Amino acid sequence: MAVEGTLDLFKLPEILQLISQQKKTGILTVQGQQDIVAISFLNGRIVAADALSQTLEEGLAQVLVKEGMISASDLHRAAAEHQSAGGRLIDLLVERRYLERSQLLQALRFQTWKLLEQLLRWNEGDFKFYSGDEVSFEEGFNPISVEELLINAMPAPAAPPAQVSSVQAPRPVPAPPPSPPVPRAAAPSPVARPTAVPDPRSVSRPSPAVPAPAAAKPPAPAVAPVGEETGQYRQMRIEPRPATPRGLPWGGRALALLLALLVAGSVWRVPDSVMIPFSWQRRERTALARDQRAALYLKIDRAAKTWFLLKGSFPDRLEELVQASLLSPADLTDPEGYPLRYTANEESYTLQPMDGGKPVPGTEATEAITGNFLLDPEVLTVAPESQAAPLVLLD
Amino acid sequence: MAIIARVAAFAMIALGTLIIPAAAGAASVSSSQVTGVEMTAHVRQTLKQLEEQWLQWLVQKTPEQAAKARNDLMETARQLEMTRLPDLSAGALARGVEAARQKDFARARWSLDAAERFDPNRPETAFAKADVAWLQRNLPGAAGAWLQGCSRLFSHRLERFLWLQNLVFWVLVLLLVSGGLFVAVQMLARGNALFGDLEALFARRLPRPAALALAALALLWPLALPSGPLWLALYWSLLLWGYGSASERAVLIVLWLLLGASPLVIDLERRYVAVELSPPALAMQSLQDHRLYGSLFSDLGVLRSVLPSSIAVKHLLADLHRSLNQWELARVLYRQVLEKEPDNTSALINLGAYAFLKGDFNGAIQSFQKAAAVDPRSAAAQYDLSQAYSGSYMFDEQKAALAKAQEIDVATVNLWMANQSQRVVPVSGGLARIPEIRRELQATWHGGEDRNGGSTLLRRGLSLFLALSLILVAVTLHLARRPFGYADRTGDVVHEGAFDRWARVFLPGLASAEIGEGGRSFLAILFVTGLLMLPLFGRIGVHIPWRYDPGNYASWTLAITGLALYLGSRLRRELRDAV
Repeated sequence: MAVEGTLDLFKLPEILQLISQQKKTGILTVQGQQDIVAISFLNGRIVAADALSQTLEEGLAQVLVKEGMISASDLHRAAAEHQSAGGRLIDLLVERRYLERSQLLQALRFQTWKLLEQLLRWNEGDFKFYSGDEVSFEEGFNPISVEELLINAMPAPAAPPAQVSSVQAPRPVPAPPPSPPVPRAAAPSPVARPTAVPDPRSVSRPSPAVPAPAAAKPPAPAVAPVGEETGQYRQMRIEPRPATPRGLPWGGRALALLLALLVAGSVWRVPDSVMIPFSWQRRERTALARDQRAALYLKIDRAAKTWFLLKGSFPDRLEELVQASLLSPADLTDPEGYPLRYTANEESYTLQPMDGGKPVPGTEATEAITGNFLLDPEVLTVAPESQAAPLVLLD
Repeated sequence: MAIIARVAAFAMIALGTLIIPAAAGAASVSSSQVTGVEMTAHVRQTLKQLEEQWLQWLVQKTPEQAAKARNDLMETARQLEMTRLPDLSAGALARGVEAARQKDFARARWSLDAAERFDPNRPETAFAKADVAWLQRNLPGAAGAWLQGCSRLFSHRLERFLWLQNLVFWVLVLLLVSGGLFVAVQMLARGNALFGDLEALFARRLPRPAALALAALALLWPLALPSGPLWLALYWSLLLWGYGSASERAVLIVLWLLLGASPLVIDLERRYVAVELSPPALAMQSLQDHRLYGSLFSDLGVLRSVLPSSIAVKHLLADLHRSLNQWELARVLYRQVLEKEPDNTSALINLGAYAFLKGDFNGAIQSFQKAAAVDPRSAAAQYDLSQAYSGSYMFDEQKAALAKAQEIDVATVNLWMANQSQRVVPVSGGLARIPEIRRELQATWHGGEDRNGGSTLLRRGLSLFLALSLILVAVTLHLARRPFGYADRTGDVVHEGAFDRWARVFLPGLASAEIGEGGRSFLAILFVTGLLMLPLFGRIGVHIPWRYDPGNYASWTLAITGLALYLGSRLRRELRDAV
């Protein structure tokens, strides 16, 4: 369930308070002119935040270096290892003992706090809240309550929070309330792997086009109709949220590519077969092809007889009609994709679609100059007994 | 004509059954064993003259001589009440292009002028002019002529009709292909989740490699069926139903219904197209447009064989004979019309005209009086009556009838009076019945299929039934899976990074699919697919029987330009918005 609106109608503190009071779980995305920020809520408390302009790891690295928790050279070394090892940089920092996990979590909290501080200064933009049952965040993250944030981080007249202590364990200021760390996921689904920690970047960093929500779950029951009838603040549809994939990471892509190729191949080979595709519609396909063939033969006939009008005979090959621009190259193929065999004699010609060297039954057509007064001398033979003068309306 | 088998069969039937009664009352007319329509010697001589004048035109060396031969041709055609000669126009056009390729641009020019005069306002002539201008390196001239050709595309009924029918076919194919690609994009966005769920299902009892293989098999087995790609797309759309948003599900429902209904739409469209392309319909259209083509009389013979008892056809043929000055043949047919339709005003007037021309003024007066009684608002009946009275020296009655005619339509009557060469005015009621004849043709059309209505209906209805079943199965499957750990999850489409960014830019519909915007995703796919399918426009549906083929360059140009603009704008927006 999603709720959306604009910041000129509802200020961010109001929105945050609303989510907090109702103890909502989900993702709030705020799109301003320069950036998009996604905030993850678990039971009304902030457990992650990320911005499009700066990935979580980039921001975190800056904080770590700035606060002296890691040297720039160590960070570069870790980044290089990360390039080859893959995975998440922050996991690698802890695994390689560049810093303690507690330090990492505190830096992360500080990074999140800074981002929220900046966000609270925004006066323009659009917001959208995606409600759900679970969100992804860093395990052990100390949640930030909205009240704490609003009291300490409002841009003015409230004083800015103190800087992180750079002595031992840097902490964002103000100090977090003594709330216990929340579990990784609020309500893991029966098929969720308990060890899988969702990647905060992939979770909370929305795509440039439209902000993407975080982890997916079955559509939750509708959110209470908050301000349903009020201005631009309205309820939207149920939407799924992305989650860490399982199975083969390239499975979906490979399957999608396969289907796209099959569709493109079908439409390129015989485009009309797409309209009547089922196996039991063979008669309909045959009937359509017959009518299409009749139209094609009519076009060829007009071209061949125009040739006859100029040359006094039918062309030796259909390609001659293409060269004379009386036909297009596509006209040399039957509507079912078979090439046309053309044979001509003095007064007639025959068209026959060929399937691998064999004639397609029931598709042959022979056309002659018979009945065409411009080509057939028989039509204009005047019988000697019928020389009577016609009646005319003219005086 | 090219609908060879049918024409031959129909012509034979026509010759065997219909010409004989029609010709019975026309002693001075020899029935044609070739065309299916009787022609007097005079008409044949006129047609022969046309053929000879065409040959004269072909061998002319100077524009002046060619213009004279061309004017003679048109004058001869007018004797048969014809103003257009499409076959000769096509011949002149081909001759002009051939001359241009031999660098004889003067001849090309007057050949194309002749083509324009033989059959004015044809798109083919304009496209040929464009090609000749291109050969002359006259780019503005080529562009102008090409645009003129485009503007003429819709000025002729048959071509406009076929073009619009092809558009319907093309749109249908486009929607269905876009539907297939929509499922592919859904698979791209949610395929990992689907694959993962299937793997997890099988992994409960099997090792992971086996579970993976089974999951792949469970996804790909429809390829083994006949029409495998279609079933694959349908099957995946079913599986992805549970992972989609409301709008994506709505798109899938519409696509299923469209797929189910398309055979019915095709059948309906096919019926109209087949009738319009049939020799009788082509002949009727030509008569209406005063176009004389080589097989016109053969095709009219087919019309009579297809609808042997149609009064409207008899009326039309009577008008044809009258316009060819074959009055004896026309009279026989008008009488047959009046046997069935005693109050047919135009038949009465034309029979009166026949009597008048034979000098039977009393007979003419009786016919005109009856026509005037049936239709008191017919100015032609009153005017012709006044002429018949005049022939009988009944001048008081003549004045009264003329006054009535002028009261009804003074402008037209004055025009008739000004035309000193024509004493009585015939009425072309048969031509006005062409729409009625088209309806009769459609009623008799059965597309060469058997008349087993039950099985046909079942076959066509089966598709629609399948579409409804898909909806039911999708809902059932979705509900059935939920208790067993069903998880609605969007897959991680492509990992963050440069490729992710460009994939969203260059894969239409992907960004919308990620956030469940089904309608927007489908429209994005539809737009790009439409551009890609533009060059296929000539291959979908029926071949429009143009007499000159301008090639497919325009659609390729449009497609490439459109794609470049579309992707360029997306790229520009992406780079501009990049932070």
